Amino acid sequence: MAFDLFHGRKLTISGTQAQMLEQARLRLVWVVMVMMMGYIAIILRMGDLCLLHHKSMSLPANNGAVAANEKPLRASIVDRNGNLLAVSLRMASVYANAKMVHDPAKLAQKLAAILPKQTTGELFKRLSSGKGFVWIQRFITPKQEYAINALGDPAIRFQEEQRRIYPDANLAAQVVGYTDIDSHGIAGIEKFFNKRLAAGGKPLRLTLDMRIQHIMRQDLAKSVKTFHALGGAGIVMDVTTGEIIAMVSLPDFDPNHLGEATNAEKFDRATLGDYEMGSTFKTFSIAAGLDSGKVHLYSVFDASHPLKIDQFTIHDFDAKDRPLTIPEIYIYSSNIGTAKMAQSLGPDTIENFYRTLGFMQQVPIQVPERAMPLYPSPWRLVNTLTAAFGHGIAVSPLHVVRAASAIVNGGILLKPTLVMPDDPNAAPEGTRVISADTSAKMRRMLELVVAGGTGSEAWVKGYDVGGKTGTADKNKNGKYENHANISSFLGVFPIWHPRYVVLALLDDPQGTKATYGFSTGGFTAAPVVGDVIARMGPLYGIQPRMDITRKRIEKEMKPYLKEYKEGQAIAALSTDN
Amino acid sequence: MRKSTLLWLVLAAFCGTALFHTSQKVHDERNKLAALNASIANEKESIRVLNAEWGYLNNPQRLETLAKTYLHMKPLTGTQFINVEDIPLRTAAPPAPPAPKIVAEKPAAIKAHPRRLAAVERPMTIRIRKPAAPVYFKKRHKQRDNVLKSRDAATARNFGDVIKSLGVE
Repeated sequence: MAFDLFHGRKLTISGTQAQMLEQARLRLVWVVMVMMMGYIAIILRMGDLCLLHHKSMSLPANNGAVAANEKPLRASIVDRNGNLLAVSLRMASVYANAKMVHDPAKLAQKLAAILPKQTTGELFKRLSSGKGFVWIQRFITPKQEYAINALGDPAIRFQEEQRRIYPDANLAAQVVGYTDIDSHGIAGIEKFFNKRLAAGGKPLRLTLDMRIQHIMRQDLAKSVKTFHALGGAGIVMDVTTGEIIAMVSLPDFDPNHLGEATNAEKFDRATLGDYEMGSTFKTFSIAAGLDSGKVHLYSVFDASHPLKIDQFTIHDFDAKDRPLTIPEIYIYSSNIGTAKMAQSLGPDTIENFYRTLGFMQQVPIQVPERAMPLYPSPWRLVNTLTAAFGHGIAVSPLHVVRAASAIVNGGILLKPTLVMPDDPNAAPEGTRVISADTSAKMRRMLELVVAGGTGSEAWVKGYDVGGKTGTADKNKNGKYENHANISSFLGVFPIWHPRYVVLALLDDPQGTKATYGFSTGGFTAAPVVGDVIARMGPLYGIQPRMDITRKRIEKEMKPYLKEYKEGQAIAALSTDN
Repeated sequence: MRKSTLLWLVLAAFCGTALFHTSQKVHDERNKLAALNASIANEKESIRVLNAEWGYLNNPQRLETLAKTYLHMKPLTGTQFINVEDIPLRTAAPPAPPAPKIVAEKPAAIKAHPRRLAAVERPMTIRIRKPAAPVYFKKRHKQRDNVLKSRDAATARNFGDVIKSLGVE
């Protein structure tokens, strides 16, 4: 063994010393080997990370920094064409640590000069409270933020928050709903889909069409104003898919200024209001009769005398004083005839049919504001008779639209929906409630009402519209008010290949000179529906049919009308009930 | 010192420098990435704001008012539709018009008046005036431009106003 320790002088070590050196060398080798293994392990791991796992490891490291300090913005809500209905934007809010404020009076004065919404006195109170956290103002503009920052006061801090903005203000206020100041949904779609929206991501696409919504709102508002009604509701539904195209409730409010909205304005009449619908319900009771097979279009019921049952007497508003066929009962809107028909069906038929149509439960719809219908319990014979013409049972307008869709679309009851399905080609699921044949018969009668009956105000040249008017005395705390009505019109178009059901309802309309003092559905609600259809048809590219004339329709139905003279049905207009 | 030791030292120094360089580069890149991410977030935010403004400007009520004020158009009605079959299509080439009927024969040649002939023979001089230099109303153009500019400024509303109109101060 030779070591060059002493500058070239050779030294030889042997004996026990050599043995010790050898041992030390061996120990050294062991240590080096262990260290080497450690290094090799590190090198292998590095190779593994750099070459094999570099993608999965690098992503969270980079994006984590951005995502960690920002809560996701609440997802937007858009209509079926992608127009914004609600959007969240980042805005700064300013707060203060009152413990750190040296001169609250001076600071309050300076802040009040920048923030016109605040008063010096109120700010002073907050700034001198000694609390660790006091809001100065939520949501300020960038200019105000800059000015406050320039004050340079260490007690003032900013916090980035999100604010919900509704660019279309009143347009679909009740359906879309609103959030509280902390962006938690507290009504409408905003509440129903709160979790989904709060998670951010893709916009929620509704089935509403802003254009139709606007048309419906405008026409309904015009009618509400003309007839000094308390309010109104309007719905347009696609009968083939159950999609709600428009849903309006008046009076409405601007969700951007929620503080100014009254409870009456926030109330969604379309989904949450329960109304006795009156004659509109004859559509359902007659459909029940025709579908049971016990009643036919040519069946005749004597409507010459008022019908007495228990202590009640059922009258006709415009008594024809003669036996009437089913289409006559329908177009003249005879209560006696409908009640007698219901009587002939037996006690359970109407009740069961109404249950099948969903009149005894909430409508499954994606807003939390759903009305539970009011219906008699126990259901007695007299209830069958009154419910047949829409009294003694109160449902929401959406109930009516949904059931009417089933009556005209060939007999399938669909789930109404406010949200576009993920798969546009998926067939909607429904339940058969009447036969296709009954549905076809009902369509002919609906058409006749508009062609020459009480619904002639809804007639649109070029479009084949069908419909039924309804006027019911308003029920207030169990008492019927004589001079207050719920007037409605249920429209269907195109009636030959139904695509849309349009409902307009007015709460307590007052007759005008132009309507000869009448406030019935035929005068107040039918023009709304007619107008909506006239504007909506061309917008949706629905082909008009110029071959459809009133005369032709009347002629086609003539075999079922006993004493029908041309144009006579129009005389019934003023006597709608 | 042995050569190999020197070599190792150099190698170690090189590795150290390379490592330092790489780590610095990573650091820089990371900063760059953060800045990019921030600017993407910024862009996304402005897209949201612009979308909100677009939504506000597309309010049907507003569009209707604008259309009524500035366009001479009316809503379409159902009666304005016609079937394709109802449009008369152009058939084959239109039938040729009947040949003209001859009612009179060619008139006999007329002898020209001698004075007229003289006029044709005498050449005439026509004075051509030099065209005037075009005048440009520079001032007026400028004025008009200014008017247009100020009109643009009046119609373009910034989003601050929109937000303000929503009640956010």
